[in-house]
Amino acid sequence: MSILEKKDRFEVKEESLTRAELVRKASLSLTEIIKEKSLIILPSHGTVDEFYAGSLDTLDYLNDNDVDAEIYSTDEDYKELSLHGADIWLGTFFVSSIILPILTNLISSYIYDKLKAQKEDGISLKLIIERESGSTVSISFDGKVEKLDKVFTAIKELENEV
Amino acid sequence: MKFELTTLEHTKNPEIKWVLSELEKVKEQAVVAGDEERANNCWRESEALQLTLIYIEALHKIKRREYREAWYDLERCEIKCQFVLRNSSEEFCLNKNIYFISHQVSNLQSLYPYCVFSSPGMVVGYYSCGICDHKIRPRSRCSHVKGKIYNGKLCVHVAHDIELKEISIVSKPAQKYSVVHNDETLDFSVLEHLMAILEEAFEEWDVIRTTRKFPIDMFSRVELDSDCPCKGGIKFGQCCSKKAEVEIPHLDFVFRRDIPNLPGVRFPY
Repeated sequence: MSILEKKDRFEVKEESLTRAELVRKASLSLTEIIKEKSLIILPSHGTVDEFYAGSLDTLDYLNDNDVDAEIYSTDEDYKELSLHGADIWLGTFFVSSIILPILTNLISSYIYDKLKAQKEDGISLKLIIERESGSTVSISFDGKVEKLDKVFTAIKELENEV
Repeated sequence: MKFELTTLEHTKNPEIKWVLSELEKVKEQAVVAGDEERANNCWRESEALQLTLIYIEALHKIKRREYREAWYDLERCEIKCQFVLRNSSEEFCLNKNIYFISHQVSNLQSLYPYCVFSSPGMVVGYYSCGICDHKIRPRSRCSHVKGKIYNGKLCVHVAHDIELKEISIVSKPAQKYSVVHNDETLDFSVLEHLMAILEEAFEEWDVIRTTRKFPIDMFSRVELDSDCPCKGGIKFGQCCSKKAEVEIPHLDFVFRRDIPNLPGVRFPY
């Protein structure tokens, strides 16, 4: 394996981040924006206020597909982190369990139809799924698009659980 | 006006420069007259003509072993193809060889030995629309769609307040120009092999990726601690060194015409 080839990473674990925590950390105006949203796009891994390039395209796609989605940032504070590798940095999504039944179709059609991703392309995404009880569980994936099935299987299992 | 444009000699025709300049003038007049369709048609014709010129030049640069310069041209072709394809009819793309160029650019790029690139990571404060200058925010957009043409102008998003964060080394870059190799240390013989046969830019050819077995004796120069020629990902000594034959990746070039005096199979070790 070349030193430039990353190893795949797939992890499902209990999370501490909750909707209440997101609201607590948000400004008053942001609290209003994210209130009762089914899906919230969070800042990129390891940052507090930078979103992956293309996050607004993702937001538009979600809203065009009847998902009540928002970005965890005010218009004034929004910045993008532009990583120029060809990998797809999809980002971190806080997802209400209400949309679990449509989530797999939504993600796969966005990746294959909209982004025209090939099976060999690298992709990074994290889903933080909010159960009805308010507790959360995360699905993290870094690897090739062709192995995204692991994420879809995990979503299905959570759908059966919640 | 009609003129032939398939060889390097044809690209020197002074009428081409005149046509490009006329297309620009007609486009400007169409914009003033509010004729968006005419302006967009001028954009398409101009882009397709420029694309053909760059593609022919790229191919001849490869023939002259100016590999890096050709690589930059191929990337320019790739980007132009992407936008022309998005904004043109299937008929237009067929007539102007856009599908052909797009396919062959990808083929040629895949034959290069480049595999390490630099990649800048940066924070962008905001983007503005290249058509109307609207400041794009999460809850504030204009009606223009990135990558589409409006009045003969391509809509791009312009980045502002850029802060460079890091430079990474990547194997799959978004911008292919950022090669970090020294060409003198690389093996371009696959391209050389192809160019020995290819005569014209628009000659039909393709590449088929397969494997081929060679007797172990032919690998006597491969060190046991080198990567295995089979590309299985482990060292030769732990992989194929004790086999009677080693199966290695192989490229077959196919052409529509008969090739007299076919060169022999090129063995890379």
